[in-house]
Amino acid sequence: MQEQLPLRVSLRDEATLENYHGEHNRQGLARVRQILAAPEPAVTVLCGGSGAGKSHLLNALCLAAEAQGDSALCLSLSEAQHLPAEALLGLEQFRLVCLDDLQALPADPAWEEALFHLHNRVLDAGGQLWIGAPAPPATMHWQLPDLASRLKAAAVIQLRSPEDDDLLHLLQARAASRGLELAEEVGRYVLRRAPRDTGSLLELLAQLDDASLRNQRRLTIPFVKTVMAW
Amino acid sequence: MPQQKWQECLDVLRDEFPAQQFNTWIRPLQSQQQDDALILLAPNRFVMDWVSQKYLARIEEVLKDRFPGDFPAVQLQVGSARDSKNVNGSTRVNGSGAKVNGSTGANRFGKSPAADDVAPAPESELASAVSRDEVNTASQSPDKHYQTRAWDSRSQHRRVQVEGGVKHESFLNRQFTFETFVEGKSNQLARAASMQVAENPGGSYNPLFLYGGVGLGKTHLMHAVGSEIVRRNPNAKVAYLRSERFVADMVKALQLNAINEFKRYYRSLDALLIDDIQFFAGKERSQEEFFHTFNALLEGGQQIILTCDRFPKEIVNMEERLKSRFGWGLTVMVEPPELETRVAIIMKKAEQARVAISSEAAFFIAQKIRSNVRELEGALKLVIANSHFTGQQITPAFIRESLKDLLALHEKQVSIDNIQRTVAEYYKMKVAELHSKRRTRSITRPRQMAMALAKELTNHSLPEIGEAFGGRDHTTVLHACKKIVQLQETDPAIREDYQNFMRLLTS
Repeated sequence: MQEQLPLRVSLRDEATLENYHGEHNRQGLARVRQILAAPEPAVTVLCGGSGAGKSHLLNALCLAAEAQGDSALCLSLSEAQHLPAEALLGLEQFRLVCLDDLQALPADPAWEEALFHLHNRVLDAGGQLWIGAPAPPATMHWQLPDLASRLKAAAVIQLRSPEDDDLLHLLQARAASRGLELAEEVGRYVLRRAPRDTGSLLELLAQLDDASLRNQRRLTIPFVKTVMAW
Repeated sequence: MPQQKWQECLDVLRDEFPAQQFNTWIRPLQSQQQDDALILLAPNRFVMDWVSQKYLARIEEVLKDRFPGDFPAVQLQVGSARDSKNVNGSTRVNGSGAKVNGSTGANRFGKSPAADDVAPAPESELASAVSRDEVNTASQSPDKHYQTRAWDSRSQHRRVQVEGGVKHESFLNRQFTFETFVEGKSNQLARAASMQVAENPGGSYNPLFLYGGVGLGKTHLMHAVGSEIVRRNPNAKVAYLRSERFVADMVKALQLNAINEFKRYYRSLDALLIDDIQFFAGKERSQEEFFHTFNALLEGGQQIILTCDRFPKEIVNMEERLKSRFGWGLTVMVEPPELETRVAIIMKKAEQARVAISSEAAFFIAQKIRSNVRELEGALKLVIANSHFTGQQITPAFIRESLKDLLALHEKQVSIDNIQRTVAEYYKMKVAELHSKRRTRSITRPRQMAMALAKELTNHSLPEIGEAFGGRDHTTVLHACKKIVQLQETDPAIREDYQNFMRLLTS
């Protein structure tokens, strides 16, 4: 097969509020937009299982805030493992502070206290704190009651994990934004075999896009089968 | 134009790094231009170090690639574009390591940034006086309190010029007033004392020490007193702050050699309100400074109001002389609200949110969420939000659906089984003894306590509770409930135990 080297042009696959898919989460997305647009200080927890799009929404919120001239920061607490609790100092200078993976907050009183103080400072500065978590904070274990009560009082937006149809729409929309046509039966074929979290699916799509360009082939089931060695 | 070059550099880096890394570490860097250099501001030292170690070399490479012969020098600093129009005390950072000395921007107790020639105190000098925790608290970018947006709309934001050119701001939240505070049996003493203080600040209730569990309205009362003092005397200098802010201000003042201004400022106040005093624990230098401030204010007849999550004597890692002074005025506990107050709170909050809620629905929520007011409000907010979206009326069935995760958790926590385990553990006995026929006082009392808690916290009937305690009659359970109510009024130890159980089982 004659291969063509793909040109490495910049391709933005950024998470935006507009490209957040999932009919089941339509209400959740509307609430997210509503809170973001309000001028009040707010603490909001986005809850949902893997693939529900929490990280997507948090990153999209940052972009949306920046588009309207506000500053924003998104930090995954899974990275907190490498940092001391003081890494949360000064973050209230951003109008929007997004903390992903609440469950990864180190089980350390210093981290809980740091998060408690950050929560207070963000609100005092008139900002918004957004948190991504697999479950409502009320169902998680906390050592510091002050933090627990504040997190439990936060607005919770429950996001549902996507169903097959949602994932298919997501794949088709992302493929279209790459100028790639993904027929429904090919999409369903992919979904039956690929990991179901959106991150992996998007990586897989990038791989297929690359292969399609190299080989000048459309995405058909036999082609996908060959590329993915399924 | 270094800043334009940074924008182009960002475009390249955005495509190179995974979105999460880019959004976390690179995009939030705020760029500034200083002569021909590109200043990148990180929110704190740790972000700066991380960027320096992981990304700075690549940032410099990209700039060199794209602008050969004309690339700007990059400096990483701690600060914020909002408050660092004048950047000082920075250190040139290169790919091999980063460090910060000094601080950026203005400080309430330092000189203005435009004239800022104050050398930071040497690290060693600070280290001898201030603990690591205290320094870290202060390393946040300064003066965020003074450059807020939405806060302006809800706080009184009063500025009063005081001696030494130090500006005073009260930071009182105007939503927290006596009118918006729902009074009940659990908090009427605290409210009455607060009203007394507001009417006669610096009088016999000095300091006023409000303590109790989280989310019970201590901060609300504190703001209410402050606002009422200002309403009665618009020239009064009242300052509300969290203890963390006091520590940060003090350390910053030490760093800027401005400790005298710090002292003058706090001692010039008519009323000083410090929230969550328990976070002073272990911060010795702050306790020392606060001790002197405390004495000066008390001698001057100025009012001090403190809140804490526990009784003064129970605060750990706090100097004894401070603890004893906390008790010199009036110490009042704010207790968890009883059912009637919880219903009244929900009705009031719903009214404030302009939402119609039936007393039946309010009663339903109040019965289910018993721990504290903040959680009660959180639950109500969730119900209201769901009602807005679905357009449905707020009925008990709708509430049950909206709060199903939360309710499942509460019901799990307060099963009879869990109550028995908690009570047995608390009194250091076996669960089997609660079920047994033995009737010695050391077993009877805990058994009665567990029965009373089961009646209060679960929806089980008296016969069901009796059955769960070794097949006892429902009249035994009824007697136990009455006995515990009666003992709470006469025996402080039983009263304290009961409150501890309520906290343990419902928070």
